[in-house]
Amino acid sequence: MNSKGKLRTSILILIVLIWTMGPFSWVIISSIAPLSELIVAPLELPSKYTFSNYWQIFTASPGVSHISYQFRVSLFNSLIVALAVTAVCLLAGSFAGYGCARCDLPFANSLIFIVLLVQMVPPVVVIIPLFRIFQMLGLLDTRICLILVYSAFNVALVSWIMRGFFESVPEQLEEAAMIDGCTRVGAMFRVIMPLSAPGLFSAGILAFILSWNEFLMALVLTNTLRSKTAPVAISEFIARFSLNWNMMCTVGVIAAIPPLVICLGLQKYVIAGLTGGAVKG
Amino acid sequence: MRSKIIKLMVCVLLVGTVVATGGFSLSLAQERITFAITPTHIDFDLKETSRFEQAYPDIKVNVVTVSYGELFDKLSISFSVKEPIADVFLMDCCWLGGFAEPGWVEVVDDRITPKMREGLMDSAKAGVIYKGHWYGLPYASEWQHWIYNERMLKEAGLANPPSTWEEFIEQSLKLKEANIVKYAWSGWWEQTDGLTCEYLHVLTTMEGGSTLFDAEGNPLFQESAGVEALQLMVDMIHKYKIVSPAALTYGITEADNLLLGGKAAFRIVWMGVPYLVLNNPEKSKVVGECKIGLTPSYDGKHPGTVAGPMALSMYSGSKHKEAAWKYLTFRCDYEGALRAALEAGQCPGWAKIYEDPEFQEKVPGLDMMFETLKGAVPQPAFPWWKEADYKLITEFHNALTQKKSPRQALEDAAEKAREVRKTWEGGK
Amino acid sequence: MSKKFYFSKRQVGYLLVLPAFAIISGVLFFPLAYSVYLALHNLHITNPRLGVEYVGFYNFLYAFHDSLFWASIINTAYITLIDNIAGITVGLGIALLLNRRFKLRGVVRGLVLFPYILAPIVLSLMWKWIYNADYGLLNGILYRLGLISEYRSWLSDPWTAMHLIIVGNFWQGLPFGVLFYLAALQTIPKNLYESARIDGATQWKEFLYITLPLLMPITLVILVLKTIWTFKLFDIIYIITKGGPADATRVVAYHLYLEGFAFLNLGKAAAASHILLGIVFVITFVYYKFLRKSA
Repeated sequence: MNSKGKLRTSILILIVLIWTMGPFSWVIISSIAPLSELIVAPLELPSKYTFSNYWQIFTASPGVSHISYQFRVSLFNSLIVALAVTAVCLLAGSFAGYGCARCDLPFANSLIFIVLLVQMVPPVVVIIPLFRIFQMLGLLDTRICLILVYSAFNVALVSWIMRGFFESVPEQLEEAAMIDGCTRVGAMFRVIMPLSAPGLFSAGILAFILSWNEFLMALVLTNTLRSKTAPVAISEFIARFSLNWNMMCTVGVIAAIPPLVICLGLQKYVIAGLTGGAVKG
Repeated sequence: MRSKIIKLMVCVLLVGTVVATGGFSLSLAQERITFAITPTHIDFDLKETSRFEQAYPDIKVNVVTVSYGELFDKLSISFSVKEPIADVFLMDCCWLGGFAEPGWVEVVDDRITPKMREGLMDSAKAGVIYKGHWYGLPYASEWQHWIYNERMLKEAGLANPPSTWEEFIEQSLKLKEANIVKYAWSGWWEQTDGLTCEYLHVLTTMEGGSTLFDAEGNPLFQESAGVEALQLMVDMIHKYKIVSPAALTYGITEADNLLLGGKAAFRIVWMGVPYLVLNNPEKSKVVGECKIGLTPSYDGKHPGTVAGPMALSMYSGSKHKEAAWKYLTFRCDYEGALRAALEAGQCPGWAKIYEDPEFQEKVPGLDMMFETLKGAVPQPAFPWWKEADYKLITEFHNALTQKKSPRQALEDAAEKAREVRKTWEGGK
Repeated sequence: MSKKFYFSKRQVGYLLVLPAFAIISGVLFFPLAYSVYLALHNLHITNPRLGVEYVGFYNFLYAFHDSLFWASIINTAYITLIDNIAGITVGLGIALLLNRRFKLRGVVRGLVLFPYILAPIVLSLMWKWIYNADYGLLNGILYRLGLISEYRSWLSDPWTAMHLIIVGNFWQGLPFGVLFYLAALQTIPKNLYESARIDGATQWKEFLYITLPLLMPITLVILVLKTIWTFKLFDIIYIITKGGPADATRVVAYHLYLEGFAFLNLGKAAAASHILLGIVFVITFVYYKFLRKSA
């Protein structure tokens, strides 16, 4: 590529980066600026910076600053739910994906359609009956109910991703293991899964992110800090502290840490998971 | 590597399941009740709650905060499936019908003493009484106040606050010209029920304007007084430009903060005891500048306001009614209401408190507050009001964004309100 | 290790699929069935004296005649249309850009992914702050660039509010298209381009006759998935506009949420949601047929 083309490419990439990271950078700046510097018009770049908001979130005790305590608890809930959903989806999804990859199941080729069927159900459609069902089971406002719901929405996707990875492993490896005395399931655990570790990682990250980000169902199904997740807590702060923008940006930045971490370090897994199945069909 | 992954996954699953199912509350000898409240005065609520728990060591109160916009919805849904989110909860007067008709709120007639019956202020009645029955005890029995910034008016050479809407518009334009404030009136006009209350407030000052519905629930706002009120609001934004278009996106905090920050000269507020907020240097930059006034009216003689009393009520299916009632009385009896007034600026619903010397000493501006109360109208309390309100607010916005004329918007709103009422009463 | 019972390959397969199937059935399919029950009744939650009433197809008819419901579908369809067009074109452009070799390509690809995996709540908060009428970044930048003479309340006007929401949603969905196109571009064999170049084709011709046709399948995938996901749009509306101003940004998910959870009209909400599901199903089915054909 000639130098003029290189320059053009660099400029375009710079524009893309500004478009992608610019808006959120403003959130980061807002979170470390004192409120007085933010509520000025016309806009000015804040000159003083302070991390006091972050400090407050992590150290304040209940009653002193209620919002910080609530947010910490909701972060904890989000983490538990996301981890549990990841575990459940990886297990159930790997099993199902393996079954579809190796066991000549009649609907194996319709797996993509089932995934889409699940994906296309707008949560608002099932949330109404789900609410009543969970109430009857006494599971409203618990983390278990969130785990169940999120797993249901994600396990099809995980199955599909894992199936894609499993299919790329030659069948001879399992057959060799089975000749040596393994059961099929045993072969799955001992031979295939380790080789598909990147796939597990990708699917796991996707499941984690999808549960971490989910809002509508958490809004309806949770009430108290027993099960409230971070997105719901954040929405309450937005309603409650409509002027306290720097605090809200702080909360937003903290909630954005998992995606940031993933973007900066683990992006190839996410990309592989998202696109692996789709491109092959 | 492979066994490590398997072990890791199993561990994660186990840990996940164990922790996720955690939250088994150890059952203690204590009785536990839940109290749902908006977070506005959460520090005071927590303080009161710990005082209560000290006085009653065998009752534990779990305080749950829900923002005002969601409280009615969450309470309704939870009551409808008999899985209440709270035993004791905050009730606003406009929700009373919607909770009382389905029988979700405990009727407390036989717990009310004669002293309470006599002692209840008229303006607080709508918050606790529905169709003759008591449904709770009064809490934050407040009404809207019209506030004006005296210093700004003086600076513009205006001796007196406006008494008619024409004077108001003139004064606002003068303030604008003199560069004192760009938008004289700060409105809470986002698409929520706060807008309805401000509209109703303006409606009461128009010729022939009284309430939104008659006693049976027939809409009245589409008549001339209602149209004039809405037209005035539309003109304030688009014709005279004395209300910022951004008011359509403001929440109550933002709208209040314009007044408290010295960026607006007029506002209708829900501040309980207004001077406690307006003259609090921690919250206000206009200490000493703002005064409670009489709302301008079409002829200068009909100021009005909207009463919005609230109550603390009990869920009718609660398994801890005695404990809940104890908490209710602790928070809302004479002493409780006095504490709420002095420490959190909440308007008491008991008339006697207003004569209490300590109260009078600490709470300034009582004379003016009672003056404004004279023209107070209640909010609708029909059981179908919530849904009708949504539709009414949308039509307000249609007019305020000039998508429809005020007359058209209000007629459509009246039509929708009739529909909602019909459906509730037994249509499909 | 010997087993007592001998499972055929298929049977093992069914067993393996069972956990996933159980979860999906329990949480999705069963509630969908229950929601059919809800759609056929009026529970009269706010007036329990009337009891549960069987109303047959009344709720469905009501939904068909509900102008608010159809308005919300049209709003959602409008957002989808613009999002799809912009997402495809800009997404392809960026994918072509990232397909070239340059330093730090991996880092840039990772950063480009960011909007897509950021929690919708956080990005709603972000855009709400940026669009703020009095102190927002948008106003600030436009003012400093001299494009506006004073700050405007963008979210107070129905037209601008709708389009700014579209921008916010577009920002989030763009990486999806970029990534899919990137992956697809990398599967195009290089020798196709080489032979074209030998035949004297320009870059533009290469793009038109080789790249574009080969990207058709993935374009279809992207289009359908984006459509399905936009119909679920909720978080941004709930946080930033609550359907306003004047119902301009009322999307179908928000409408159903209001009907079901604010007005407690569970039956009507359920019926309307089934109609929505039908619409989305038709789109998905069409995609499935097309994909099958091109595979």
